[in-house]
Amino acid sequence: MSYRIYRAYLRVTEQEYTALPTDISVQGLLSLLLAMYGILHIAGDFKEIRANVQLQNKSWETVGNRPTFYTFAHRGRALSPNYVMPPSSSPQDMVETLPS
Amino acid sequence: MATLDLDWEEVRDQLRAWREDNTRHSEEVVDTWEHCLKHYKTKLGDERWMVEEQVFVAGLDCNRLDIADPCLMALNEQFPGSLRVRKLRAMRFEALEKFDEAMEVYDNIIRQDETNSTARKRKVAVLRGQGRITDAIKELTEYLKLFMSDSEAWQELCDLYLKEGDYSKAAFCMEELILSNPHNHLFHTRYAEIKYTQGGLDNMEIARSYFCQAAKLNPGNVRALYGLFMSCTQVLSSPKLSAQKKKETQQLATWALKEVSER
Repeated sequence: MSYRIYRAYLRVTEQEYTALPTDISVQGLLSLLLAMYGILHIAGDFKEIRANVQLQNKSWETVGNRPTFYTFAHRGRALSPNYVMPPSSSPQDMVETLPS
Repeated sequence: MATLDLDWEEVRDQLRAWREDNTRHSEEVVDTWEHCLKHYKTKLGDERWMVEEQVFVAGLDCNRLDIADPCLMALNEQFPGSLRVRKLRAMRFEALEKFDEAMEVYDNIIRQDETNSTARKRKVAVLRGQGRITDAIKELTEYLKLFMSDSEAWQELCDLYLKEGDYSKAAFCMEELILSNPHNHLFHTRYAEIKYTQGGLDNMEIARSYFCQAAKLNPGNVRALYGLFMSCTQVLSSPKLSAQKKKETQQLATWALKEVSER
């Protein structure tokens, strides 16, 4: 912006344009450095370029986890305090409840 | 476990890490929620709803409906007509084994929004939960005709085919996954294992080369190295093999065994 104003000023005063005045170039350089510093602090850590390095420590459990396909009909249910054993029909199951 | 032992900010960060990492830690999520984060619900800000959803699913996983139900009610109050909350309600039906009601809700969601992929995927999960693997496979192949690039669905289809014992189709699914993620050593290892299970000299040679690729991508993958050794010994035991190939395979096998013993 200030560069345009400067050139307009030169055109009006009919002076030759040789180079940008120092204060504008210093301004530009300083703002570049400030922007770089700010971005580096906001953007966070760099990520490794090689795609396979991230996967080195991951197991199949993590990579093969499919949250949209979770089923809840697994044995983990029995570990909860709310678990109610389903009523059994065969006499073999009654063996556990025998007093001994 | 003491209520105020854990710093609620640490718990929140841990939950966020688990969310982004896409891992299944249902019991820990339920425990930390119950003993710590539940009391700091209001301090979570915008993240609260994602945490509630995460805790809801973890609660269903551990059969802790006393934890899951309040979360669902809070989400319902905040987002009244939302399809996502409706999907969560249907998941609750699934956890209670009311599969027909769950299917109804999913069909309603799909009717309302044709592009909703998660409801279709949950239908497959319902069929799998009921044990109807062949129906689940059919439903999933229909889904994949519409949404071809969904790698999670391809993984699920591979798993379903493995459950059925249909190794050639499972190998095809893994091939699709390798095409989309060629740098993932775990996919190469799994494909090689499927080929190894199928047996026969050609499959054995393919398995050997894929184990090699997995070991190249990740030298720390002991499963791939051991698989390499096993497939080499299998190839060596076949009668029709040229002498030069025999020597190469033997060298490969000894190298693989040395690597395994070093790790």
